[in-house]
Amino acid sequence: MKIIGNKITTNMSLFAFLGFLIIVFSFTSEHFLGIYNITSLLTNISYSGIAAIVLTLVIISRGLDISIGGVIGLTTVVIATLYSQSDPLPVWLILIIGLSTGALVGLLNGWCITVLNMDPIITTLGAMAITRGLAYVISDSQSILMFEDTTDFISNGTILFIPIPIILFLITALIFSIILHKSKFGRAVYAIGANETSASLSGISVKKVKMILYVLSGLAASISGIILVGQTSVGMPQHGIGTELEVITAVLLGGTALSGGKGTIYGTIAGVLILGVLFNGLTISGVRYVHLQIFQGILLLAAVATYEIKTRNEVAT
Amino acid sequence: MKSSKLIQSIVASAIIGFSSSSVMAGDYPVYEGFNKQAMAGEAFSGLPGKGKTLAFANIVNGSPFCDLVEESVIRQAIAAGFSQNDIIILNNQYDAVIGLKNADIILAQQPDVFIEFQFDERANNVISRKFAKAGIPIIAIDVPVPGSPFMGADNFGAAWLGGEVMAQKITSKFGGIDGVDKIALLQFPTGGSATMMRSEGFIPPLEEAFGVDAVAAKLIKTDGGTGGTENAKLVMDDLLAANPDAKTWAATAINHESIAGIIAAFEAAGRWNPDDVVLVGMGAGPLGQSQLRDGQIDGSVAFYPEKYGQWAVAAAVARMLGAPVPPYMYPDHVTITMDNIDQYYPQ
Repeated sequence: MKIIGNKITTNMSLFAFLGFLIIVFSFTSEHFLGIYNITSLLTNISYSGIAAIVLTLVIISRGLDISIGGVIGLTTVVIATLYSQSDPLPVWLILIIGLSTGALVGLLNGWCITVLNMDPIITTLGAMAITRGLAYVISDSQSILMFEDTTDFISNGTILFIPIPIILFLITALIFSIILHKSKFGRAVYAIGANETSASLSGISVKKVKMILYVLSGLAASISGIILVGQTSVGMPQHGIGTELEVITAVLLGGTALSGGKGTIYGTIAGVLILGVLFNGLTISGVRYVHLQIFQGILLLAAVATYEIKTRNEVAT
Repeated sequence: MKSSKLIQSIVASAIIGFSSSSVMAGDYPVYEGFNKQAMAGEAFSGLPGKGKTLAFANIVNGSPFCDLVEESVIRQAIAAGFSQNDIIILNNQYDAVIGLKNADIILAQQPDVFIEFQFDERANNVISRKFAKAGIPIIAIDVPVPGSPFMGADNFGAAWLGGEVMAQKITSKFGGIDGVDKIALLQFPTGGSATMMRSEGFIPPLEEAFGVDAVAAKLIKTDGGTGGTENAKLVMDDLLAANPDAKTWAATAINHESIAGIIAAFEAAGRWNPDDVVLVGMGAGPLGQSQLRDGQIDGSVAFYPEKYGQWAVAAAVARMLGAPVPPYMYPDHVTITMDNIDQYYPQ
């Protein structure tokens, strides 16, 4: 009961902070609350938001996936390369191949981590380098133009005036919220993150759960890649560079513990929104990029420090 | 809206025509007039930027070249009458996705004109489409934006000049192509076709001077990183290690920071001797000028980033007024050597 209470308090304080930022920026820039800015802000955070939602589960299970950015870049290149052939495959098949790219990388990550017992950071760091390198090799280091109706619709289309990337983000958040907070699988994720040995002894198939999580993380990164291809109309190996830092910051900011066992989807949504609003608001208010980088670093440190202080206090009491 | 721009354009033409004797009758009188005034260091006639908003997205900050471009744009925008608060400056961080996000942020602020400096030509398609829809004119800097006038380096032409200098120096230092063991082009493939031109353009003049086969036998084309000293040094370390018997070299790279990396690699290998190396840089910025004056390099090609605003802002203001501007605007690239550096860059 106390844990639920803590979660609610944490999430409420995050959303309160978000509200505070929105109020501040609405005063610093007359354009901040404009329809165009709000829509583009939400659309632009959707692709990293989708990856963040799934990464939340990975981190709760005491894992980490820093290959996200590389998978995004590789997916965009794979899709655009296949589409640019003189006799291209049907688009639905290209998209499935694109999604499979991320799933395959996730599967390999999961296999190395669960079967070979490799450290998640080292494994996914290696995967990040491999996927990024593959993207450069396949694309010959060039961007590949891709004007295509389906990806354009996925990234720029609207349903009832709501941009589809925002809808995809909300659907992902809803699905994973149900999975994490209402399903047996979600309870297994928390249990593994809290104590892997206990989880195993209580009958949870730790390896299987972890494997599924890494596949889902790769898949989410590929969805982000597809959105990026549509938004930019190019597949390019540089897509997704730095996204892992943005996504990890959002998840940690949302209260998910790097040491596993704690975290919520709502917290991550708040983290994604806070980062998005902060960067958009500062930029539109005329703050230069060099200062934004400082803010990002401070936020990441603040998120981890807050968690450490909370944990210390909990242990003390 | 269109008719008011036309009237503004006619008024601006008249003002420039009456107030500036240096205006030449050309196809683009409004642009040419502002350009002349910018070059002369004068304020733009009628201060057409007064009460208007100009947005500029820089390709990246922290690079001397890009920072000089930005300073020049701001300086000329103020000369055009834009107030400091009405000049929106963003950093595209050498990332097409950030470029797109910045474009959205700029669109939300509805500027009157936008100067875009974004590294990926193909990703500029989307930005072009969004701004066209919003009716905001764009001036592209260094990397084309479909449907918009281009201002910036003539990369191939500038590299051609660099290639000519390299050929002359190979002849004067080594007596011809037989005297040089390797010719290295440290390229920047991830920067796209524009930056590739900056090194590929070296080849035709070298071939013209020494023959296609002779050049091909010595030529090494390699990825020199993204314009940083450290990456260029690592690449050159590898080239030197792979060619231990090559004593005499000719080399170029995307910028002078990379040239510094090449020199550092020669020094680290204990193989640095300016008499055995022909180095030609691109840009002739402050670092390149120092390298040239110190005798580390043999030449450079001036890009004049510190003057970019003279063309870009003049074109932006002309487009804002609805006046036509040339489709391509290049600075006058000049080869800089020890013989003429003081003429172009007096100390």
